[in-house]
Amino acid sequence: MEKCATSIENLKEYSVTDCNVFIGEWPFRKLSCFSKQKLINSPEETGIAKMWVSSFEGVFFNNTFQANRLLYEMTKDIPAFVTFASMNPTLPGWEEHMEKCKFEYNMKGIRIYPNYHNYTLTSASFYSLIQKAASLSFPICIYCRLADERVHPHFSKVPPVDLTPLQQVLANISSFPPIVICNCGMGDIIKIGALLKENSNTYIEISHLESIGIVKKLAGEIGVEKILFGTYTPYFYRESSYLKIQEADLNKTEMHMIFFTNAEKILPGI
Amino acid sequence: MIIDIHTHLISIPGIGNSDKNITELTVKARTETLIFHADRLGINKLCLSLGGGSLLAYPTPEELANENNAIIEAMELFPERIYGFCYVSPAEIGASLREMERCIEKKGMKGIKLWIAKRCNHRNVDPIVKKAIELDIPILQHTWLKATGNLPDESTPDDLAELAERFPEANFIMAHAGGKWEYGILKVKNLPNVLIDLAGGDPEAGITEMAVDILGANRVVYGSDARGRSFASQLAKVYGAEITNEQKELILWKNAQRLLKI
Repeated sequence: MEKCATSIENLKEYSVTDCNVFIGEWPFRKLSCFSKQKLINSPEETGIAKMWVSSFEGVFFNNTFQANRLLYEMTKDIPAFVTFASMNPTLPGWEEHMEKCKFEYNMKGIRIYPNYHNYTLTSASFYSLIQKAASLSFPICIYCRLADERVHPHFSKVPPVDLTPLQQVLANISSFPPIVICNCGMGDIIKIGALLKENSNTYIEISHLESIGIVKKLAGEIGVEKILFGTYTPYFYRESSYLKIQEADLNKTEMHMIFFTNAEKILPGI
Repeated sequence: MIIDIHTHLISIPGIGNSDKNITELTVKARTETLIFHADRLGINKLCLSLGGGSLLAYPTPEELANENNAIIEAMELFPERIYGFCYVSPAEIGASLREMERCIEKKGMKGIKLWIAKRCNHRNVDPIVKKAIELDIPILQHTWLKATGNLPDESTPDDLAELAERFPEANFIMAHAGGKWEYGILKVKNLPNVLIDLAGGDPEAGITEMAVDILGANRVVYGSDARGRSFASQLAKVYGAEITNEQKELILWKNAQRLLKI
């Protein structure tokens, strides 16, 4: 049985973009590879040329603006980092702040965590956020969860985002930016299967996909062009996503699309 | 060498349920799919249980036999790749003991699998454990401690610790490291007859490092909970861990080899 050549050592030929990386402190555990320095060293070790990165502080701080400022300060001299602002559309002044993230902090997209910020995909604030992001050409990464609900601390149980309304919400918007569904499992994807299949501007990343050969299976169902490589480093072992690519029976073109081309389509030239 | 201590032949959901109902597929087809993907990651041996295709939490004696018959078939089709674990239920003690005699003594299975028919500290489990001791086989016990609430008869690390203390001569594998693994690992720290497997939870960084630090690498085994989980995300818990290569070897195969006497 010929093994796929995508062991970690061979990844450098693909110029990988990792669409799901965080820096900063996870509040409930010291993450062993959280340090910025380890992430910076990544390209030499892992073949990852670019990382879409936000901070955990952008989830948990009451003042998301402060978290994005910190993210900017931590990352501004590191070309491998493509920064995504954490956006909370329930915070007064968020529209102005989104503009600041684009024009002052040179951030390239936004990440949202609706259930951590107390709104849903049917909220008016989400609708407004999509429109604002579209006006700034910001792709939107929607995070379904940040940790398996079964292991949440008893004082901080946050349910996953219900993606069911997303198709209807987007149907009422004439033009929206690329939407990336992050930290989603098959149970989440099933709710938006039609959206993913029919809409060319929606994507998913693979960090939380499970069952054997799932990447290949999903590529067959929604198209390999909708799939992004994401690891959820440092919360997850980065090797998980590499090995999922190795486990799947993908050809080199498909791997190149997942590792690079699809992300390049969302953020060309970045 | 890699030995996966924890795999199943259950179904996998698709977006449009475009797959055939998994139970319509033959044991051969399902096992071949498992082995195909295992091969892509260099996994040599699979310890397989629950072969019927569906998740039967409270199997009848006939259903228990059917589950195990599927595993026996897989073992016979792929003798170099598959070890069987006999599925038993503390709600069906007589049938379970008969299955253990059949599957282990006669058919060469290497261990037993307990799931959620009863909490594992229930006294119904005792005759099964005694039989396991007699047969000198390990007991793979499902455990989770869920923030979302456990199923009615779902065992926690506390339940397993109580059982392990009651039977210090038995060998237990705490499946899923107890789910809430920081708690589970600490709970079994002083129980040398309990190993943990890494199967089934998300590949959360730090689980393996903590297990090695607290329990020692010789009490940690690699498992995947495939087909529901990928082999990939679970192997990552070993490959990605900041531990030595010697410790990784123990986890990937040496501990399982010792435990299963293979």
